[in-house]
Amino acid sequence: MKRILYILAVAFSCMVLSVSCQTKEESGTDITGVWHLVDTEGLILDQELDVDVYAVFGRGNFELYQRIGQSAGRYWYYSGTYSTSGNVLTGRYSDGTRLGGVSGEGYSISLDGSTLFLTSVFSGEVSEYELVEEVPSEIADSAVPPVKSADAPAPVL
Amino acid sequence: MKMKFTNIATVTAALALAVSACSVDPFEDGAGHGAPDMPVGKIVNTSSNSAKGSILVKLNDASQADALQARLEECGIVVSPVFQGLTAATTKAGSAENNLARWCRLDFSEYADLDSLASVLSGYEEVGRVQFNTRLKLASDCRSYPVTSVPTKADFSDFNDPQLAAQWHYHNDGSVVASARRGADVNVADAWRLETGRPEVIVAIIDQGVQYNHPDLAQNMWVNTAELNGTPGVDDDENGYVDDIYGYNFVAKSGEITWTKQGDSGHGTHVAGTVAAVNNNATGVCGIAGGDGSSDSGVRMMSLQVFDGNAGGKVDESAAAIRYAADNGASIIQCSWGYAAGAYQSDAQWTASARLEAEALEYFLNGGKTGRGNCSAITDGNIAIFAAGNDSDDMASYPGASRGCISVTSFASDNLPANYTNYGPGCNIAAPGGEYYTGDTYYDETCVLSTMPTESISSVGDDGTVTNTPANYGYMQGTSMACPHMSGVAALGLSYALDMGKTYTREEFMSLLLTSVNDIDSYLVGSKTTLIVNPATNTGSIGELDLAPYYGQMGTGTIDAWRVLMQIEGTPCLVAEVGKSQRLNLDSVFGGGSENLTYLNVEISDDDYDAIGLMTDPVIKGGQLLIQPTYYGSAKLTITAIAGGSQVGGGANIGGMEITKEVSVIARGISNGNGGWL
Repeated sequence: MKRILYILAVAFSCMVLSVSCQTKEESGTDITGVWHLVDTEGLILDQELDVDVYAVFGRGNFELYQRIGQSAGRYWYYSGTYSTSGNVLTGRYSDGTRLGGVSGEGYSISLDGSTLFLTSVFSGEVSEYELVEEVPSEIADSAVPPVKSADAPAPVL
Repeated sequence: MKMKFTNIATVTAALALAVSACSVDPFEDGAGHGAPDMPVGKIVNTSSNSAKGSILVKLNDASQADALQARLEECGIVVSPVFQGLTAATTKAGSAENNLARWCRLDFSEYADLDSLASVLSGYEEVGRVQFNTRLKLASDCRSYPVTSVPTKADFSDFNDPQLAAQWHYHNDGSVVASARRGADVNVADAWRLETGRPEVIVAIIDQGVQYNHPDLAQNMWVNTAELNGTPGVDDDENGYVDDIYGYNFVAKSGEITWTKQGDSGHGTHVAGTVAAVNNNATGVCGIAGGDGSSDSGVRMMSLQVFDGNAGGKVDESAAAIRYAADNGASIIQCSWGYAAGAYQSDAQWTASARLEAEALEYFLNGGKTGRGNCSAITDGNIAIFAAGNDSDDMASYPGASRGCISVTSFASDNLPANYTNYGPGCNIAAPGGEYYTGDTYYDETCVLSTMPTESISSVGDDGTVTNTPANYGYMQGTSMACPHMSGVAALGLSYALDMGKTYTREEFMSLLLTSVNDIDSYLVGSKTTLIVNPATNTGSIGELDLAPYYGQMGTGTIDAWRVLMQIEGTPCLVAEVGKSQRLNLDSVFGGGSENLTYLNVEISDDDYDAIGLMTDPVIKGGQLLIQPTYYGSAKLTITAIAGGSQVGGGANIGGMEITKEVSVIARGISNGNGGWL
């Protein structure tokens, strides 16, 4: 019995080490920087929708400043964590919502100099971003998180 | 001549009859013998609960007032306009003002038999309507309790007001009592980061007198500078009212506002503090739209006194106050009073019977003599906010229950209905109003903390017991206290609309307010422990309050100041996935209780229909928007719902308010539940 347990333990250790090594060996595409949304499937350039998005990717963390919708005056602030594996971006917002829609499959990354293309793995939707120096201060200073602090926690039924 | 003599003889007989009746029982209630059960002909209501010594008539033509006075003066009856300054000579025939100018108040001996006199007056050809001068009541028990806790700096705001931390109704961290729930508040602390109130927005406090020189209110009082700098005893601004510097006392017919008479309770001063006590002045409490401490911030409040000690509360006084608000700059009237619940059970009944108030309210709602809103953010009218009433009844009290008014129910610090609140048809929205027993133990601190007159008011009860109100600050409970939370948030919203350069119709702004809410219905399961009052005996005992009857009956939800400001910033935008039939949550459009609202329809233009490649009309299913776009693009939809209950009020109904919201839908390849673009 002890021998069986020992064999299982060794096998498990090797498995963990193997997984760790695999993770460490794979370095994802580096997308750190401040990215400004240029277009998503013609919504902005062709249909002129009032959509403005800045995505700031840091070391494992991201911030999003976005204004979506006609006559909406305010930029909303989102944050979360992300990782890249190969050319795939995945992650979660701070509220637990997964990047890339409910399926959470993330985006495939295509980097071309100062242009970043993120293609939804789920739907194939392509968004183009351009590298910029910083989020304009008037946007960064006025953005607020979409937190409704008066919302009482849901009752336990 | 003969006709005149006959009239005088008849009226004199009515007065004599009254004196005779007086000799039998001088304290007989006017609602007693001989009072008709239903109004008859020109007589629009009954004498039940009406004030003695006065009656109201509406002339067929405003120019007939002098003729009526001439006809009645030999009987000792004095005819005067209900609305001072409005006469046939000063108003244009056919105008809204001229319509109000037709209302007169007749004053006579308090021993006169009202029903007999009304019957006589209804026979006069110049008299179009006769209305008994009913008394209204405050929506509060008017009891107040002192602050005993040690002031501490609030950790949720930069404001330095020492009592702010105890104002759980602004920011509730769940610690005020064991059963308190975090978030059961109006969420104003977040909103103060963006807006604290602007002096262009004027709120009329129609109530007991407001202590206008209270150190925590004075800076935010409306001041009529023409009267302040004018000649005492002279109507310097020629608005029909003399020396109306901070408002007007419609009971005493005087510019002198009072708040410390026997019978006063500090109710008006308390209500005012919730709307706009001065913020960040290192003194006392905060008000929702009380500014940031600078002199050019904070909304302004005018005191329109309709309760004066043990006097007042009559409909002619409240109607006159409402008209004064309309023509002297108020864009919101804050009204924590009304009839008892059930006195009227449909808008049609109320409009027909309470004709004077209904016409005054219509005048105010439609923008008074200008026909525009007194705040430039509303293009076509003003906002009337009333308490739902404290009868624990399953319908709102009028006037608040009527179609054009916002009727406010009350929740306690546990985010559940307060034990006294009315609920049901006519109720539009909920706000914190406090409750002495939230749980099985009495707490002052679970009531609403606000300003009280700086001089304690003594009153003697029926049993001879003397009580004194707390000075400076105190706790009170009632829909009376919930109502000014709503008024304050509405004033904050108007201020922010001015900041943003946004304008609305009155209906649009009311829809915006009523959809800026958090859900309450999902909490209404089981029961809560509180004081259960037996209305038959007016006694109470601790028990379990069944919450099921309140489900869907408290209005659209609990008002959230932050959501109001967010809605003012722009049209709500929903993201839908292309190629997928999906249900979109409407919380960002209709508030946190969106799934429990009753929806009437969804409208979309042909162009918008095509813009996102719809194959079928979008509809509401289960309180959510069911839609299936097939193209990338955007479209605008108009969704109509009912704020409060399942049927629209008006006409033969008592019910909710129809609210219409425009929403933008963007169709793209993905959608996140939280709205993030990535």
